[in-house]
Amino acid sequence: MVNPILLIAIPLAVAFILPLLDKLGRGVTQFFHFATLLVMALIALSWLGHLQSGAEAQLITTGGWAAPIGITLRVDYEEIIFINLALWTAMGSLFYLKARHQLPSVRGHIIQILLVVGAVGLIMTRDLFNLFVFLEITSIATFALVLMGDERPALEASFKYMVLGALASTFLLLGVALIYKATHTLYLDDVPSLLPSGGPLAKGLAVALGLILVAMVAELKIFPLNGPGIDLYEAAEPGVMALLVGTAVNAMIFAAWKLVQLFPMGTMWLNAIATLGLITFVSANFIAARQTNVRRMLGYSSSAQLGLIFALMPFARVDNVHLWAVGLLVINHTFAKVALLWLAGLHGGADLKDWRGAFAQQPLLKIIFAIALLSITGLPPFAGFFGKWVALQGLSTHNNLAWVAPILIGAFFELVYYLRWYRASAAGEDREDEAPSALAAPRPWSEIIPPGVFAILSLGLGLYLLRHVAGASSFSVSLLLGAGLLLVFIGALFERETLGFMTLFFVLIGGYLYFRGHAPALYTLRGLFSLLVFGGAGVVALASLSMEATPRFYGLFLALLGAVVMLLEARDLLVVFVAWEMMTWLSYMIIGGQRSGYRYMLFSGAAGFLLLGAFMVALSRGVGDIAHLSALTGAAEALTWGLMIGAMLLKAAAFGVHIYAPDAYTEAPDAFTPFLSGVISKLPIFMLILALTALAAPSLGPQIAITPLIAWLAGITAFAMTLMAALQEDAKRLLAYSSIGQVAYIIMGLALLSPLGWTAALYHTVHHFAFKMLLFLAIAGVILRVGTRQMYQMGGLIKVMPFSFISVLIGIIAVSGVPPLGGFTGKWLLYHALLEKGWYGLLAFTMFASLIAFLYLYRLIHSVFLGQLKTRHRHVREAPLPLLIAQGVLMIGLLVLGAWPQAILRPIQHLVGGLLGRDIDLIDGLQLTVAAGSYNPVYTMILVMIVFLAALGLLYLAWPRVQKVGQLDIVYAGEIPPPPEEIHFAYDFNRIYERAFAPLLRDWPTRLWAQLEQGTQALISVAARFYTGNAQTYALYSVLLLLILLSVMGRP
Amino acid sequence: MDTLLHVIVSLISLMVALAYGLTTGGVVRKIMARIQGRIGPPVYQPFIDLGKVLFLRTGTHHGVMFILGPVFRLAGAAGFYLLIPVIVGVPFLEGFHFSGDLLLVMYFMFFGSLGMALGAADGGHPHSPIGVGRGLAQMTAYELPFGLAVVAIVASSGSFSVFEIVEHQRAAMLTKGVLGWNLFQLPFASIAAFLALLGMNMYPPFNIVGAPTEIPVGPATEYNTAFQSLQMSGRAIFAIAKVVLFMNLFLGGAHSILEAFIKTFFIYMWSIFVGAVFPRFRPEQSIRFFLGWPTAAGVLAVALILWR
Repeated sequence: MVNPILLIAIPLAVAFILPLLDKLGRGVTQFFHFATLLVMALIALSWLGHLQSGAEAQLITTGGWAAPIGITLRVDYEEIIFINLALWTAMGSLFYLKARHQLPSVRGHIIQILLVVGAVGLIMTRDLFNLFVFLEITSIATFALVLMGDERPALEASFKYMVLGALASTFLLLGVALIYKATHTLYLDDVPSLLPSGGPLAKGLAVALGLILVAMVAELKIFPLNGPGIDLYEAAEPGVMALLVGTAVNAMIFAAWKLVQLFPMGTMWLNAIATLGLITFVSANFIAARQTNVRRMLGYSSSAQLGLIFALMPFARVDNVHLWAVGLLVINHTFAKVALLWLAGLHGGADLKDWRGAFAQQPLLKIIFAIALLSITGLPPFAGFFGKWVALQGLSTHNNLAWVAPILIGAFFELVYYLRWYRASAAGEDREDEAPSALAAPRPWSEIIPPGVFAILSLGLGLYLLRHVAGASSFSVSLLLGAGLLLVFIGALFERETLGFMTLFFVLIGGYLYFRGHAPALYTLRGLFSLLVFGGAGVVALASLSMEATPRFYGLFLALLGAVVMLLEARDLLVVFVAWEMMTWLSYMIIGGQRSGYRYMLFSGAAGFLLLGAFMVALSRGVGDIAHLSALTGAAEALTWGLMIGAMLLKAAAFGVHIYAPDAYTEAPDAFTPFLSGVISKLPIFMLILALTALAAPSLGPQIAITPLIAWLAGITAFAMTLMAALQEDAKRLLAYSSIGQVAYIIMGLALLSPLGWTAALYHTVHHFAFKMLLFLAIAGVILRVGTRQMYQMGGLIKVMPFSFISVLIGIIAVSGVPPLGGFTGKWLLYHALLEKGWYGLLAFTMFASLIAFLYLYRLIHSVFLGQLKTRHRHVREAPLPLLIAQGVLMIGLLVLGAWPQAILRPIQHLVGGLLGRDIDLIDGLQLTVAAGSYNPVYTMILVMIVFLAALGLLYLAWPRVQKVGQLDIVYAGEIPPPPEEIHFAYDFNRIYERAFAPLLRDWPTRLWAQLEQGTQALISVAARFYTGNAQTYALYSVLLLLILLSVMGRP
Repeated sequence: MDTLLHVIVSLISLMVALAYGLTTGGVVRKIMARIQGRIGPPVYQPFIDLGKVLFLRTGTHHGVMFILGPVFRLAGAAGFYLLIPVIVGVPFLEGFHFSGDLLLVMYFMFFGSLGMALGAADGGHPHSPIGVGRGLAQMTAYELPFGLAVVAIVASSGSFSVFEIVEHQRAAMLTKGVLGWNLFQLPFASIAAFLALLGMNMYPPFNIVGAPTEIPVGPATEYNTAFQSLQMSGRAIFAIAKVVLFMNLFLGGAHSILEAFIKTFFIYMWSIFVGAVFPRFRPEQSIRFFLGWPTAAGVLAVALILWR
């Protein structure tokens, strides 16, 4: 075993001889610098191996003196991990800074090595005074490094940082001195047991602890002393900040962890630490949400992350779980934040506006950027997420549920500003003509590799953790996720068709592997939904063969499918949540980061946090399995359900929170929208069923008084969305609104909490899946051929795209509920369910809402396919074959469902009986029968066929010498008709309705949200005034903090 | 054998409905003419019109959907009529009501209109979609009071089945006589539904779809010859089917064919009497009208049911 003291000795020695070596040339210096770091890293790794193979933690006494006199160093897992992080960052920084010519002199090299020495020493030492010494070394190296930039703002920021740092050092030294006075030792492991618990010394001890706490707060950039640190981020070179994050900052975290051990258990001190940390986490994230300067934003972010870590330290002393949390958070923060800082430096843009289309021409950097962003926002499967989950779980299970809410709120704001950054970088990407700030010239590999390696490390760790957590998932999930990930990276190497075939292949293989183990699939909830998922994925993969999609789409889509299957399989709350969030952000990535995707992710993220809150409440009562949620009672039950249902209503875009969904559906790639609408929109339904099953099954008690409200909300959603759909010019947007409205009917059926209502809901789930995918695919084909989404620019396309017309015709008949297709069965079931429940008002309202659908359905088919064919569309071809095959499959499904809904209703009623514990049987031979009526789909279909054929026969009998005439040969009052563009009545088609409903159409939800956003922004700008940027104010804050702490803690 | 007989009787019933519809159309024209101080065409004029368009020597069409439009219209009207029991209690005159309940009837109402609207739009004449747009807007508007009325009826009878609704009224008639009709039992629902009927029948002031001189024929502008004859026949049957449905829902159905004729004739004439004295609404006025008092009456009807 190598003596760990070498980790300090070697770099110290090299630092001293480096000026001499430099005479031999800068190359030699660089080599020795790198070699030093490499040797150190090898030593650190060898220690990791030792510990892994069961070696004990080692204490090294320097100079052979025992603890109280000599200085003791310690090497254990924690130390080695922190040291490794520091060394890798330092190595990466060396490459990065060299490539960017930011290491002009030998002094830079020396300071960097000294910084590493300081950090390693700070991590290993167990001596209080020695800790102070290494802190000083680290701080001085930090100032020096920042000053190397010799720009004026950096100078000023560094000076402020130094002032506060000096103050902190003084406080720490005084505190240590007082501690020594009380305990006569500086050895950290002995101090806690020797601290006096009463008498006059105890009072002095309070002062000592207060001083140390203020010093920690200042060094770690905790509220209220985080001002100088944040200013430093704004002013200093991001590459330098990256180095500091990995070395100095991490070392200070470790030092703080050691100092936290000094505070006696069960005292207010620990509460103070947790509170300060949490305030930092929430406030820094909150303020960051408004920053337009990327670097300052990263500063707030760092402060927030450190706040969370700091807040968890007192808990970590009680429960090992939090130690894990802290570890995961630190590792994730290092990887992601360092990578982001490198990228920020590489791009150079300070303001968010400068980031417009930043990596549009650098796909590799874009991937790295995306990974780092996802990682830092704490989305699964990245380590940051697991850190947060472990922390929250620890808090929940130890009756600290009250701490959970602020963490979730802080985390939400964290999501907000990173999304803003991503949005800025994705803006204008699709338009080649405007991407002024795009990084056009390719960057040298030495600049790309460091952030790339860190992003991959972050991803690798995430995947490792994912495998660990979701190990029980089927092979199908691993296959799809793995294939997806692979295609994301190497997709650009293949042709689009090849990618399409590969996607189709993996979907089929994944489906085969999945269903091999689940025989009677339709008769279980998961089986039913997985059929929809794989069916939908197969159809989309087939269609994607002929669609224009970016190479990234295919990989992301496969990974998304993997996440969805994982969600369907999951039982454990952690796995459910991981799958849910992965599903969300993968959808977001496919939709894209522009305004629409941003809103989508923002609302979905909020839904995610509500869900997380619900799960935490459940975990606090010891329920860790989604199937056992029914074991909850009392307030915990109400809270879990409330949060879960709220989350799902948010995700299903209920009225009021719907504003994000239409944009997302519209702007998503045409190949993806069918899946989004047909499958992804059904996942909240799946979760709602899981949530409601446990609630409804045992007893229909008083806790479900809320369900009529949910049903009415669903009704209003259906009405409002249908009305909005009728007023759209954009074909996809029209279908998007329609989709949200249709999902609302499903929710209404579920809210009925009756077997008939649930049968209606599940039937509609399947049916909506089929017809909405069909419609979106048909429209995608039209858009592909015509090149616009504006319906009024089309018209008469039936002449050139007859098959697509039939698709849309079948689709709209299915939506409208006109017999004999299956849409009628769905409406019939829902209305009877409403009648059975006695909700007459809602019944009438729903009938009205569903009728308005005719307005947009007719508009869709007329504006696109009927009326006058535009001159420029005369030679448009029918949609490509794969797309037509995909539509054909769905169409056959719809026709079968129309004539024989029993095929799907039989499994569904069996399923519903099992879920609700009350049997339902509405199939009576050919007929569907309920208490208040009946419907015979077979007779109806036959009757319709007969009368239709009879009428057609009549026409044939009476067929005179009719001839086909040209499209402009119309009865035009003796005039020559103008060109088709002028007589295709399609623009603003439902203007009459618009006029009649004008007061209802002011779209107040959007304005309400906009006002909320403005209000939040204003609040943030008020809060941000706390950070004046003035060193004296900051110094004053530190003294005030000390006084407040002492006045609070001084009392017994 | 019974099935065959049933089919034959139903076919005859359909023919009678067609003849009745055409004749009533003639009567309406006569009445309108007399109100306006003209002599008017003979009552059998619609038959002559039908024959004329059927035997025209040349005609034009614009494509497959254009051709199918009138087929949808006639099939929709015939199917709609056949789904409603004309005389409850007389097996062969109950149509094919066992295919489904009132919901099926209500949704099947749109089958013909939707198909016709699609066919008309395929004609490429701008008046067609303008008329359809107006028709759709008005249709959704009058369906709100009508839907509320239906909900009130269904809630009070406990069934969506037209058959049951008639039986329910008949049971009430045993004690209350004519007052057992839903027309009197559910006055507010009746107000809502009969006002909605004005919209359905599209006589003034609600004739915004085929608004004369404005968009002269409306959606059907391009139709001629056999297409027009199918469409005319469909319209005639459809008009009768609607009043038969209203008779069943509000007037206790019918016990005999004569009773059915009398009741349906009076229901039909309600629209004519209103139509004869009113000018035409603007489209949005029509919509606002239906969302106003008729809807209020419907809401009141449902509220009364809930209150009970």
